[in-house]
Amino acid sequence: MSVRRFSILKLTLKVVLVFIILMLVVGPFVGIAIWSFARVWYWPSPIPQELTLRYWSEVFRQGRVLDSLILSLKIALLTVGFSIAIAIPAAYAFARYRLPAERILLFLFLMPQAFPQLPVFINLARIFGKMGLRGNMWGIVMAHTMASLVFSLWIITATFKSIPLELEQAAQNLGASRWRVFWTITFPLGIPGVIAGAIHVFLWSMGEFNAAFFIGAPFIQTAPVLMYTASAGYNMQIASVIAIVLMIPSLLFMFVIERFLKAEYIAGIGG
Amino acid sequence: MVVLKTEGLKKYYGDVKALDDVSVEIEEGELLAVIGPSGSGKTTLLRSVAGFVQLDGGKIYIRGRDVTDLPPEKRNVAMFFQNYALWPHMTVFENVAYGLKVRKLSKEKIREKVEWVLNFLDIGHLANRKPSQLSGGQQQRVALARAIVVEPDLLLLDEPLSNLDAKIRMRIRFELRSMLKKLNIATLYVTHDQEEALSIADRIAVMSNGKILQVGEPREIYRKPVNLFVADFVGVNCVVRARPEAVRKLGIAVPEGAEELSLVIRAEEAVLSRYNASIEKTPHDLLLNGVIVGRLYLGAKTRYEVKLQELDDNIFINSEEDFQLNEPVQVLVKEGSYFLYA
Repeated sequence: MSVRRFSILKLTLKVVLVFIILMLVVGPFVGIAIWSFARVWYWPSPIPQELTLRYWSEVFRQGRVLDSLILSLKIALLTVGFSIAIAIPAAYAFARYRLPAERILLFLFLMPQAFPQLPVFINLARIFGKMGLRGNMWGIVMAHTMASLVFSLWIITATFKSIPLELEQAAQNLGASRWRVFWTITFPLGIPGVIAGAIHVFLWSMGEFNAAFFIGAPFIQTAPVLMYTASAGYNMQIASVIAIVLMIPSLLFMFVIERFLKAEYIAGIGG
Repeated sequence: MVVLKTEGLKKYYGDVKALDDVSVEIEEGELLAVIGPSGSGKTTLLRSVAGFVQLDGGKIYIRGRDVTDLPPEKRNVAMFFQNYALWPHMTVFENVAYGLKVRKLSKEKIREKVEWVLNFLDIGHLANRKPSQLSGGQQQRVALARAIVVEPDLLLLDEPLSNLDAKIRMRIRFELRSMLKKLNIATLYVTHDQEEALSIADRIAVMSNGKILQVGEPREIYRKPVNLFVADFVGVNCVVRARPEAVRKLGIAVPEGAEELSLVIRAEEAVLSRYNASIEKTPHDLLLNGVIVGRLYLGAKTRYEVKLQELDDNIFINSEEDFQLNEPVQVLVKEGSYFLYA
């Protein structure tokens, strides 16, 4: 009997644990999803008193949301491009060479993340204002590139470091130039890290608010900024719709890239 | 023709001398094995010839061409890495073809050569596999194929058999030697396994602390070691520290003025027999009395620990005969199987 009681206790604990995890992971999403269809929803009712599709149609009719979504997407993709393009050579240098000012350089890359984001971007906005980069997509791209370099650089550096030096030496030994060694050995083997860095930068840029707000506003609005404005006006429904729409490109991006990652590389890297 | 010639190579890591005035030569088609314990500098020597070590002095010539300051990619020496260093993202075929592609051979020529070398090494059927799908022995062959397919001036082998298990290693020794002889390629072979070197090499260089102590044919290294280190490192030995008087009593000429001597006994050649057995010996053979103090059953043989009366030390000898603990025995060490150093 005692054995059985014990197992029931264990089962109960398991169920509660799974429930808590579900609440944490899925809960917020479910809340947002319900909100996006709610017309009237007063506490303590678990579901809305009245449902409507009005906010969904409103969001898409206005075009504003779609525009800001496309803007966010453009910014994120450009940021990924620049950030990765700068990070790859820099990461290789950090991973393979003893740089004279390595610590200082690494610190420089850390700078944008080392301080509270808000003052950093407010100051950056002032500087960009003088340079005519305010209210301009490129200003946000630049800010995002600078701030996201930490992620891409760290991830890609770690990946390059994990590639045994001997794999490069073997290629060099067979007559390949440094350049050729990089493009035929190091880079292909480092692609999982590059992709991981790209995903991270993309997601971060898509959701970034501070820089987008202070540098872009009021002329251009990225999706998170629009969401903020909407929810600041106590329009939970509009904000919820945008939140859901905002998730779509991120999910797609991750899905596509993970597919690519699995098929091509994970098997090979294992050995 | 001399393929590789190094002159007075020097390399220091702080106070440690990894290479201390190292000069070696390898002839066309010759297999030179460099042996020594870890930290002796043998791998540093190999890597300097490949161009991966910045030397502190000395010159390296390959076929008379001074390559000391050339980068690794311009030396035309092919290296076999101890851990194989196969590229995991390429198939066996692509791995082997890499060096040929770099040399800008035509597609047909590359296919022809790669297929030839894969078949030569008996791994033709693995061409489309990835390295992670191969066994250790197969990976070893691919690494070898990748190195020899480019027809280098010199082949550098870094502990090529160390990652294989003991049984395969024995068999591969023969194959490797006959294969290298068939290709007639000059080879620098680094290993810590003296037995492997004796069986595979044309000549052996023994290194310790960055210095080459002796270079010679395997027989010469085994029979005429120039100093205590070489004598002890090559073969299976027991080193007995003894006072000159004790050694003189055994009937061996003792160098003058030495306070303590080291007697190296090739334990693998010493013969154990019962104390009352009559033994034929020449004046230069060494006959020692002792007592069995320990035994370890090994299957075909038994390993005995023998306490030597005259030398007051213990040595280990294998024998097929059966001796009991505390049984008095005689140990016969033939001339040429023991060495005395001051």
